[in-house]
Amino acid sequence: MKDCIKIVEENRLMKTKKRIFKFFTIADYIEQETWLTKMHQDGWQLVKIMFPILFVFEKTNQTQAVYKLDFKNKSADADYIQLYQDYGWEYVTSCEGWNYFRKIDSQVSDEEAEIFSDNESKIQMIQRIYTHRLLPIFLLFFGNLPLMLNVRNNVTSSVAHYIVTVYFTVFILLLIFGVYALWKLVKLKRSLK
Amino acid sequence: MLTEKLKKSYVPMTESGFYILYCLQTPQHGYGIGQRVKEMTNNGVSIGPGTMYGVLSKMESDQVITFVREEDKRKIYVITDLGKEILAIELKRIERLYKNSRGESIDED
Repeated sequence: MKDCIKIVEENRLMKTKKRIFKFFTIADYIEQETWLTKMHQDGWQLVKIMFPILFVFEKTNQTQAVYKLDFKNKSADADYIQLYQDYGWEYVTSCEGWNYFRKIDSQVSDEEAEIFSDNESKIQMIQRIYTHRLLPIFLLFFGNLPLMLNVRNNVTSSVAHYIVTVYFTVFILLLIFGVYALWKLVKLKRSLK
Repeated sequence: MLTEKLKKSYVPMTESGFYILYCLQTPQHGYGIGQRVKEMTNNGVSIGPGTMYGVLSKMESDQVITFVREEDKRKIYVITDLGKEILAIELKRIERLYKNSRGESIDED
């Protein structure tokens, strides 16, 4: 009997939770907002994000919600969350400097569905992403480049060569994402000016 | 001290920046400022939480406003002497703009 209840319980849990792997670069926050809003409309509300790519959802009956992301280099402290709450935004979770907010209301006006009310503050957020996310990526890459090239040319064993190649590939990927994000953010910023 | 660099970044001010600094002549927290601005402008100007937080943080780090105390997790700020100096310059500029927009010219200052 106890086991039976356990299985039923597990089944219930399985149906109420959903995990989705999805990758967004740091420049894709508007796409993330749209996707999360759509997921909520389909009955899945965001619970948390593990590593930057695993989104955990749970079933909800409330199907009208708006999601917004704010980038902040410091942790989301109490007064920050309180300010959003005062404005009717529920704090959902944080991940890698991004803070996720949700407003549940079928009657929100366009104005109330925005967290930034002017272009200057939207540009300022892009500026924060530049300084606290993109700059470190480029510094990391170019700081490591001479070392990587040097090691790569001097390794003799095939295992070491393999490791260095993997390491090198990861860095190249990082650079590609970095360049893509930079290009997209520059474009976004230009459209706001 | 009001440096040229600071003056350049605050004069002219953004609409949100102006209303926030103006309201902080009396101590207030972020949401309170937002509500006050809505009243003053008959809902003409509304400042979102992201914008509010960004402007308050920047103004605090530039020492244009200062943190007074915390009340129920809400940070209360007030304008500093430096902020008053900037506000005075900005008010003068807006007054000139207003007079000129009505076809009046500026007398001595």
